[in-house]
Amino acid sequence: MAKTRGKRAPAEPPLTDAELEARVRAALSQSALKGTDLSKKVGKTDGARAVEVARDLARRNEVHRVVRGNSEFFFAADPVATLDRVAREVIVREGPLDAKGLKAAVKTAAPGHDGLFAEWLKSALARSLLYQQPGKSKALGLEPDLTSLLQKPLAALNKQVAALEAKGISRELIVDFLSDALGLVSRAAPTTTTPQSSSSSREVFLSALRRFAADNPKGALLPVRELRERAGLTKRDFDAAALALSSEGLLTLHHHDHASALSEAEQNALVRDAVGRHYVGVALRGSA
Amino acid sequence: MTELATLPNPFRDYVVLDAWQSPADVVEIHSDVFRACLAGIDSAAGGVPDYLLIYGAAGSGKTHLLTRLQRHLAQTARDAPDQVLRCVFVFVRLQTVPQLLWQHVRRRLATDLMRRDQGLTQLQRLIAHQIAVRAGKSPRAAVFRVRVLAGDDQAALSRQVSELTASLSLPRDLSIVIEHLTLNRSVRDAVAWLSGDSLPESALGQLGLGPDTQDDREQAARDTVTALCRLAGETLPIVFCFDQVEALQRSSDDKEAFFRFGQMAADLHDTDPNVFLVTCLQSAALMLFRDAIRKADFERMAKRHATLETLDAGQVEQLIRSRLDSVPELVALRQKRPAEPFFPFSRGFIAELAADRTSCVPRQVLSSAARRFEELQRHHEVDRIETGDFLAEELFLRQQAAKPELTPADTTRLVLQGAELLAKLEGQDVSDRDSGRVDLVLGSASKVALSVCNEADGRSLGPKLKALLEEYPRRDSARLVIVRDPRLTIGKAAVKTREHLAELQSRGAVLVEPTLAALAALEALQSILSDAKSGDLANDGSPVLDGAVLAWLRSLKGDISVEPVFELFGAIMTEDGNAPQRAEEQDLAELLAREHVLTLGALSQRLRHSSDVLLGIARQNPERYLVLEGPPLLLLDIAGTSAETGQ
Repeated sequence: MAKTRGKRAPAEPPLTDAELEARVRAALSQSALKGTDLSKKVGKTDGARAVEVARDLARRNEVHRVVRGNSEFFFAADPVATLDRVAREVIVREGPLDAKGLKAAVKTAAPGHDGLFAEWLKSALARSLLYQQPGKSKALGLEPDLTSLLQKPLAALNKQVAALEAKGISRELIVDFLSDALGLVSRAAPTTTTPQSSSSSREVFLSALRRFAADNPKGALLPVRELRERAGLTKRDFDAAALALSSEGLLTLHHHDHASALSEAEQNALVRDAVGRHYVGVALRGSA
Repeated sequence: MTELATLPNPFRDYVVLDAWQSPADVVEIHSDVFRACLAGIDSAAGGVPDYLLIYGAAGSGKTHLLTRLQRHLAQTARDAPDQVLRCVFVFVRLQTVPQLLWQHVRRRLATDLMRRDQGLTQLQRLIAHQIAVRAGKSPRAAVFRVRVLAGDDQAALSRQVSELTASLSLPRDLSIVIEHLTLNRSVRDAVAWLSGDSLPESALGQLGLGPDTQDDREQAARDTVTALCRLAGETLPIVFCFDQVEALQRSSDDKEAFFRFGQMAADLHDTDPNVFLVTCLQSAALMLFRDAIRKADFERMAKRHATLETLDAGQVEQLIRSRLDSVPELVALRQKRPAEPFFPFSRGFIAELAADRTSCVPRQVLSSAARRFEELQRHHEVDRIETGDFLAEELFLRQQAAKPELTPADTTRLVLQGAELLAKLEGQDVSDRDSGRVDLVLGSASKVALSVCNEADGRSLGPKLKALLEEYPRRDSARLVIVRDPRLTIGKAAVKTREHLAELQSRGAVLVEPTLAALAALEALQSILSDAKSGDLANDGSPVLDGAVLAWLRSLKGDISVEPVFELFGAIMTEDGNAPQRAEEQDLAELLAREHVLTLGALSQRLRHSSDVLLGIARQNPERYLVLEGPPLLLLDIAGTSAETGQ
């Protein structure tokens, strides 16, 4: 008996150029895609044209195209910038992670980017965007673990400082000497103001923020005033660190809509940016 | 670009004021906070009360998020195979004074329980659900039964409602009202009672309820709200969304208002294990809120927190696209220009919108887009509206909108809010804590004790006036001012009540009856000020703060638009006493409030007062009575008529 075949569904009419471009953009806005995957995602009728459209968009700098061997990948935004941002957000939120853990977290936060992860990680370490922590875990953090890296010389130095103090040499003199020896500005010399945050104030800020966040429910908006007290930084260093970390997308600063109604002391407790906007609250990004 | 000239501007509506609105939505924006809302509901559904505190900058989309939650819950219920209620949703915008907090929550709860979906109110669905669960039957069948009730079924359902409310130990009056509302009986009066309105004895009798002798209406409201939570929470989660908490504040540094809110929220949280509370606050209120709330209360609130983050470039694009997609003509125009996905905007303009990440909130993006769209339509820059002009227009529009909506039930709130506001403008002291049973004590050297007496009739008003009489003259020598809505009259039979009032007036107390024009202007001013305090008043996308509103209001003294408000405040604060109302005046007011219009002859005959006296009273009170010369000569109660028809 002959098999009866169901009626074949009528082929879909091909998409117009505008529709196809919109579909390609929509697909890439959800996830970065390999050319072949983009083709499948758009559908049989227009799959081949979809890759051409994506290449054309890349030529117009409206999407990003990366070629590795025989494969090509398409991204809605610069994949390296995306990985820089997402990795930092993950580490701010969860603390240092090993490469495997970071890759898994990145895969969730930036779908389709994991194929570039290994290559990106090398560049991130080279650019000092991330630091590998000493020890077996080789965890990746945003700051170098100087406590571990300088453990031995520090122990020796502490021992020596104690001996020198016993001979009447003050700790301040020793610090000044070490500053000069390391090529840093002497404590006695006038300090130059810089709006950029130093790596140490960033570290202190982030550390205080993580501790403060841990003492509160996940996602809480934390008062800048209390964080300032916890961090113990000067106003200039604290504000610079807060603004720098905010512009890097690691944290969210919430501005005060009517700070002008506050007293000068209350305004000073907030973070102030270059255009005079005041920020009252801080939250780790993506932590709701 | 003439093709745009006639199209509607899709970016104009960028302030969402009510969670029951349905604005265009981009679900990717604040999706993490939305998930936190759903997690809270899951927790409450599982019998663990939950609390979510949401902070966001002005215009960051706090209320918008609540609209998404409300629509999601409604849609989930509709899409479910049994199409039954999954959750009770209540939205409370806190445009009230702290001393009326529970009464406000009660009114909002009643309003939202009476919202209809597919022919049934939320309350009816809730009752049907509870009855079904108790009987071990399908909620859908119970909902169906409530919908198609007839004949004997009503008696059976009535019995089941009684059994349900008895099993939860709900108070008798509340149980009876719930039964009325489930069976669609005496709905108007039953809803009024549920909302906390004072009802005349005749209406209470009709409902089968006892007399309204509540001395402490806040406590009564608290009892009703918590009882309704027990009813809902028996098997379903109940979600309270509190918005505009800042509107409670009398000044920008008022901690007391937040303290009282914290107590109320903590009480509500402890009422029932199935309660989930969401509170939206402006980021600017962060420190004051934390400092003001009692630690134990804050810990209850601190279960779950979320912050509304600013938008990234991708979200800005999505937001713009969603609005462009809402106008079919624009969709067609964009299809002709595949290389311009944001037509009529350039890519550069969209990038500019997202350039400042620290202040990139939806309202700012939409207002900038609205402005740009208008410029493209007109081919020239659009002038910014001055704050004063913007506020004057808002005042006018809100006054017009308020007039048909206001009822005597709103008068207490409006008078208290208005008196506090105007006293503050005049630099007078305000206190709402008084041992002499009044609502507010105003003034510094010369004090005024203000009591709003809006009880519906002699039965409920009498005891209140008697209590005021016992304390008057007052120890602090404050002059007593009694404010009563002109639409509420004191019946001829309320002899004792009339005597108490006359005695108070003879001792120097003053009776003030605010005009409807004053009440409508107060409502408009209060809503403008509340929006400003909460960051929800925006002129061309920029927040207009309460300080600016107060400064503008000060400049308006003598302006015709707010004249009735200043006249009312003048009547409250000035030393001039008024003569006690004569019996003829009270009789005329009472009869015309009921009948609205009568010939002078009929009035004279029914009241047994001389026509000349009655006509004299009417002519002396042109704001209350309209005299149509006839013949026959007619008297109309303008207050009552304009309240009902919105004239």
